[in-house]
Amino acid sequence: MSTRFQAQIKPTTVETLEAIRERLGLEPNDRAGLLEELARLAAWSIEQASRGHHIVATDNVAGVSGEEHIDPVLQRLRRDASGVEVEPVMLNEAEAARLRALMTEPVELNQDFVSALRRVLDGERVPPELDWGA
Amino acid sequence: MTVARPIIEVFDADLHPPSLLREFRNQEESLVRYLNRYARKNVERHKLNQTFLAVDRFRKPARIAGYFTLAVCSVEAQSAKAALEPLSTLPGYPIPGMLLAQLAVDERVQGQGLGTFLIDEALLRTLHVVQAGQIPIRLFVTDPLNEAAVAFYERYGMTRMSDDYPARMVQDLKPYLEA
Repeated sequence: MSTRFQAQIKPTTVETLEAIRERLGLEPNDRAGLLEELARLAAWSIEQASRGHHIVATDNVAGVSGEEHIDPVLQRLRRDASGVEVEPVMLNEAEAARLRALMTEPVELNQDFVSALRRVLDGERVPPELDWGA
Repeated sequence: MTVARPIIEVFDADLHPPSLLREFRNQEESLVRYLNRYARKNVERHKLNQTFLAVDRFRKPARIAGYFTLAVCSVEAQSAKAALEPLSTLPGYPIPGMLLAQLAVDERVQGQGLGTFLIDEALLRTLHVVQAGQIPIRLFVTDPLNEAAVAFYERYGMTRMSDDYPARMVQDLKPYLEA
């Protein structure tokens, strides 16, 4: 049984939907068809994110490595899929750029950090003796 | 002069009553306030947000010499633009991490090695989570409140993300765990 669906949408959304309609080759008045296609495409993305998967577009023919589909809604679904309560740490653009540099540039391991990891993994640590004074 | 070694204890409202917490002293008022007002609430609300206390039980009454708080975190880009470019060599957002939300030593016993011991303890517990395999922790994150704290973490090779305070510093654990 079909249902009537109506919504008030912003002009930018109208433009986006129109562009998608044309790309899909749908008739101008085929809004139901457009909604069905969008629902089918979105459902797959949501299902993948709900399983904790990342969605990456890859051009196998040209051998170009993939571009990941980044979306806050999908990020939240992946986080929820982990089943773990987490504290969100939001990075602004400048911070994200610094993190990107940290994670992509060659790393010279910090020896103090290496020593700290060795200490904890060796398991033979003793708290310091503390002098509280008078 | 009294000398003793503290014991690391997981924060427990029954074992660590307000009278014990009130005795903790630190130059940063927010760190004292957190211990007294928020540590209990955060433990109750967030199962993976835990506060660990370094307690001197040799003293009578006992005293808290230091503490730190760990929380599993999800590092996310505020904007899609920030997250998008370039991503080919990065994992996608969100990036799982462990947040060392607070670390403080009582001002009366600073400079005696407890801060180093506490960060070691925080790393140990982070490694436990990594080894358990439930969450693929990639980043170790902390938010130092002042220049002295920034210098403390910079010694460990942590990189500053923010010029403001809290400074937000990050260590990518992957190269170290693979080495």
